[in-house]
Amino acid sequence: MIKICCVYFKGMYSPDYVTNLYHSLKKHSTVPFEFVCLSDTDQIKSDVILPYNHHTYIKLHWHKLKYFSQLFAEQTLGDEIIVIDIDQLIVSNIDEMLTYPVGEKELVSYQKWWDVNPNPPVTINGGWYKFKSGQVNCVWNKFVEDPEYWQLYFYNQNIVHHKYYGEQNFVEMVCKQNAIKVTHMPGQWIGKYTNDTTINRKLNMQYAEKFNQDYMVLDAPHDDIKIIHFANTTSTIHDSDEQWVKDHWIA
Amino acid sequence: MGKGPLDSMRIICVNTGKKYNQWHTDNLKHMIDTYSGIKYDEFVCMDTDLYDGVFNKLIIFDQFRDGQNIFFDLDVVIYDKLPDLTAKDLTLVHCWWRDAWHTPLNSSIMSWTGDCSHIYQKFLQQEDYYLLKYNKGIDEFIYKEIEYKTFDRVCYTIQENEYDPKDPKYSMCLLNQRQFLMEPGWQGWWKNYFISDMALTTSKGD
Repeated sequence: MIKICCVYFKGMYSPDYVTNLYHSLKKHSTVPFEFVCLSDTDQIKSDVILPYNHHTYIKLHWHKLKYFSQLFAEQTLGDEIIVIDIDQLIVSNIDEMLTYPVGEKELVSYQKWWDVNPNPPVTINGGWYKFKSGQVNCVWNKFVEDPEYWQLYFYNQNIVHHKYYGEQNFVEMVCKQNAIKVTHMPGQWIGKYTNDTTINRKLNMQYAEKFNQDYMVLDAPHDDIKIIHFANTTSTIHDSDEQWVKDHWIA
Repeated sequence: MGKGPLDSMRIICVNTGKKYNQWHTDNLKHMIDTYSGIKYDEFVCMDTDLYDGVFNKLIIFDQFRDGQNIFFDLDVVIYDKLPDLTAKDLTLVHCWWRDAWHTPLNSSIMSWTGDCSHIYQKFLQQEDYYLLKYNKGIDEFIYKEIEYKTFDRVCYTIQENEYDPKDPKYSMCLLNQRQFLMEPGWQGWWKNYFISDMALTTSKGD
């Protein structure tokens, strides 16, 4: 079984982000899956809702790492687990991503093609992790040894610049330490967008140059793009004035 | 003939702060009543919250100065008849499963008879100093400041054992900072011994 797993807590996003993502995944896929959300509200659409505990030393999006444990969310060994962020817009059929092959001791993610650093400290994006249940327990096992330490480690090391950022750095670090193969899905499937037109113009140019395409988004996303990530402290989907965003932002 | 003051058996737990709720207290009592074999006269949950943390546990030495006392942390799993845990002198768990680090002790189970209020009095003498010096918790405070004894191997830890079946050599397992394993969404053999699913219940969407 494919389990698509996410985390929601009250803050930057409304519960609509989960509900819209759920409907959007259903609309743009033909593959059966179970949608699981660790959430502090039941005002969302999800096949399974697990309670988000605010009274714990595990903070914010770091709860996502729970899904790396085979003991969480009623996983069965061998299930294909996809952990996704909710700040993403599905814009075309996503079957190829849902069924992207993943083997034992392997993590599939997507590349941060927009990172201009030639030697980035992290190559994967926390918006999408795929693995087989039981094969990447090491991520959770390492984290839970000392959550308070790891949640601030990359901030304290000046690698990330917001407190509690660095979850994807942590995941990739642990994978390397445990000989987990890291695989990147084709970058041209992924869009990156913000609420800032200047930044979006630069992202368009980067995408066009990197993938030898004419554009990333021009009135509508390029046909190659399946998912668009709005990840950023200032980028939200619901605030966008662009019609193509509104069209895909379905409730 | 009735029980004298030294004969009565008291089970104690501490539930302060927001980490635990009433479910955890009820769950401990359920496991003791159902699996432990312990016959007790009184089950007490201490909720005096003076120290915003584990140092609240020391208050029990001041509050309970008579009879036989056995304290349990709330994040334990009792799944079979416990060995005799009664003790005259303060007795704690020795962390046989790991190196000693800052302390070889674990206060998830503590047992004593009569008056051990000197432990809390010692803490009060230099409260701020001890809170700072032993900021990792009371286990190190007891190790370095208090006379104590240790149990034989009366339990084991879930750490590095969570993917294995329960160990039949023991009747109790400490979750040791992994109390999230008690929450809905987690599965494991320990869930079979809990009173029910925790108050943060799993629910289905519409």
